[in-house]
Amino acid sequence: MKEILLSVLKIYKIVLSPIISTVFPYYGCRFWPTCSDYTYKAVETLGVVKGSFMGIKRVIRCSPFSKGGADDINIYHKI
Amino acid sequence: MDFFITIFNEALYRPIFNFLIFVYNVIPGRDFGIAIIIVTILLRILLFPLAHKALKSQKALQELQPKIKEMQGKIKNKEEQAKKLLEFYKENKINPFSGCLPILIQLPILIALYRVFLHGLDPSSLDALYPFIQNPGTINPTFLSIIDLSKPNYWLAILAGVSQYIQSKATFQKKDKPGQGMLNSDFSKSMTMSFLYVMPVFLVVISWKLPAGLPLYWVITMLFSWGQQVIVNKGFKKTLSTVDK
Repeated sequence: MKEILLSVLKIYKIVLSPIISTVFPYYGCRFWPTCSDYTYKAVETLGVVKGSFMGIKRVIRCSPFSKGGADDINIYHKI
Repeated sequence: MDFFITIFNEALYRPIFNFLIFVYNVIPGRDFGIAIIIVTILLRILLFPLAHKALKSQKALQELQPKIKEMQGKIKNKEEQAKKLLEFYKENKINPFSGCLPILIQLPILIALYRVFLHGLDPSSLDALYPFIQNPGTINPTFLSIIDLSKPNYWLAILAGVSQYIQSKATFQKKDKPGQGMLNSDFSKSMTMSFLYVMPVFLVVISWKLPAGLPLYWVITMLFSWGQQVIVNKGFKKTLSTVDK
């Protein structure tokens, strides 16, 4: 399950992400690392359930209402 | 899974489909192609405010460009650069990107639109009409009395590829797009280049066998975002010249 999810995220990053950025030129991610990298790391380190939950939470935060900036998963992981 | 499909159909597919048929009923000439064009443009206009916000952010960024350049010189590591840049945006309360959530909200809408144009001409699809929308009986699939939108059309397929190329070209034209220069690592630069040429060809190949309503939708979408891009580029040039003075 974990492997599948990680490969889906990889495929998203390589194939879908460039397509999206052409159709929506200025809709990029407001954070570093980007939401997809963040979710990848989260799933890799925290497992499928907690990792996807963290990823979803991150995407919801990633809107014009947030300030953006650096927001790394390792910070949470260490705590 | 069925549950999600039902939600998708009821919340997005049916409203958009009904709106399309409503537009088809209202416009003179009963042209399904014109109805597709109107619905596509209206949807794009609805999504316009976000693009405008990005434009304003770009202008603000232009003024901070010297500081960003200075920072760029200090840090060599690409990863670190991207991180510092986004921190910098945060400190200055600007960000040229509107985030991942707006895209994820829009994608289902666009997929629904795509499905509407794909299946809208099946006679059985008219069952999805709301009671208060007049059933046109049969839909005239000819666009401008030349192109049958229910069948593949090679010209529209090629036009879809061409418009996609024009649009990407306008997007990637500037090498030093404020703020993005640093985020575009070597990897994404080579991606961009292949993307510029591969995507249009890919689009023509896909459109070749699809009902012509879809390439028509794609042409309109691409021309709209091309126009948007040209406006953004112009605004960018203007601020650039004032900074130089």
